[in-house]
Amino acid sequence: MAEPKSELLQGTLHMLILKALERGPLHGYAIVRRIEESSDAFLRVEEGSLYPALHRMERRGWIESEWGASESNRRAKFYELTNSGRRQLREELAGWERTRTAIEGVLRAQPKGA
Amino acid sequence: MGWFESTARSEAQIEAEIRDELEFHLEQRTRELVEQGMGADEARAEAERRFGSVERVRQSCRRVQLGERIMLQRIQFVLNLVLIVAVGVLGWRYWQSNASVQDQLHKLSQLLEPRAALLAASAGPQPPHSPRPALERFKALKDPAAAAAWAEQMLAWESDAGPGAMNQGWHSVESPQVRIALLAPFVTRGGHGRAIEILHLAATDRDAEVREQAFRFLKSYAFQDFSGKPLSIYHEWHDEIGQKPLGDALTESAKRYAERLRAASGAPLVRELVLIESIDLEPAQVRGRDVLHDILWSGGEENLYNRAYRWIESDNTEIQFAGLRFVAHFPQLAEAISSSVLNVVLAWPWKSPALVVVACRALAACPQLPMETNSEVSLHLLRFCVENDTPEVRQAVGSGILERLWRLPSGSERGAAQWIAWWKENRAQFSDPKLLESEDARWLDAR
Repeated sequence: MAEPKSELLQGTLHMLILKALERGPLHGYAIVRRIEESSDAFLRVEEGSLYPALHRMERRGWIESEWGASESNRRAKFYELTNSGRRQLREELAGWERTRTAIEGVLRAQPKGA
Repeated sequence: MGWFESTARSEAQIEAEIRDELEFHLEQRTRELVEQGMGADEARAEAERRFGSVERVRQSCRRVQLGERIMLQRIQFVLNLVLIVAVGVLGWRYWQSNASVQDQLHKLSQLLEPRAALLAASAGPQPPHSPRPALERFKALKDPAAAAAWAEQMLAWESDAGPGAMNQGWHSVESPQVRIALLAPFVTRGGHGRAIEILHLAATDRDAEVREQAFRFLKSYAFQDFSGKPLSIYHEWHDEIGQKPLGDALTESAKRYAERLRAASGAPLVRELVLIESIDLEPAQVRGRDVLHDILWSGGEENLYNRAYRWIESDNTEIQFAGLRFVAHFPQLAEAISSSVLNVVLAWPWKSPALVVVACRALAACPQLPMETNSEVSLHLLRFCVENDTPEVRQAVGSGILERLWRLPSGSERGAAQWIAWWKENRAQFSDPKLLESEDARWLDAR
């Protein structure tokens, strides 16, 4: 596996977690793996910051958790998106889109007199 | 997991879940690294390195999960602190205000003292105020002389507190002589409201010598010497009154009381009460107690009728005697309950002749006798006189009731033979079949 190349941009962890959970319940390690795989191992989630973020999101009602059996039949805590989390994901994606557009706009701008 | 479930879990449970979750993550990463060819220990170390500080993450998760609880605990702590401070401030302010009131009272008393002194001076010389005896010294008394002095001091102080304290500590005074020394001043001085309680303590004392002294006091003094409420001893000593020799001592004391009353008053009612009392005291304890309770202790005349009725209807012959003698002094009362009195007459021969004599004296006091029973009662009394031909019966019945009932000439000197002769001469005057067929009429006819 290629070594991740980049840390997450600040403020994007919640969005990436929500997006990772969009396709169904996952435990914490699987969320990390999905983010890494979806980015072709480019993005690296700081594992230590994942779990406080998950718990915080759960407190906010964006996700909910339930203990279940993992693929290795080990007891694991699975997180699932709530309706509130889906709305939050849409808002986060929209915000990200605006940010990306703004950055692209800045990057496309030609220097005066060029 | 919902908010409610989350808040319902204990702190220990939440911490265990966090630990499990983090451990699962590390295990998964370790397994992945092992699958990639790394040694187990090396893989675990690498997993932990990537993860960062497990303890820091655990603490972060804990703060998120328990943040509200921690906040509530802190709020509770602060509120408790505020409450304690508030109570402290209030207490301090109360103390301050109390001190202020005390100060004002002190100033007021200083202001009034000269006026009080003036008033005292205008009222003339006052007896010296006795200091309050030290109650706490009572149990520690070892010497009879000191005990007597203590009791004298208590009497001088004129308070019921002394006997109250003695009630509580009497049995803890070791020396019998000290207990006797404590007893004597209260009893021999007389008039102390609670001397009777001290006497009771002594009369039921564990030591025979003390008990004997109490009995001697009982026999030597009348009840009112011990108590402002004569005969209350019968109430207060209910459990002991049937016991010898205490019961005998009580009876002796009651007799002294009766004698004193008899000598002191000439009023018919009091005389009669004393008479009743003395009669009922002779057989002592039980009967004396009951009768005295009814007649003397209950007091008041508002229930006189009911009480007299109850005595006369009593199964106890002695109480019937007392009741009949009592109502003889109250003509209106005797008349009101004359039917009960007549029932006593008709109860002969099942009741004693002496009782009928007393009943006749009560009837003699009535201004007007119940006419509807005249014939029956008269006939019964006639038979009674014939069968009980004694001077006492002639006096009570012959010259009183019969002549009033039948308007007979004075018959105080009539004997049995004369009554029989009278019956035979006058029988024709009676036409009532019930009367003529009665047992009494048949008995008289047979004479």
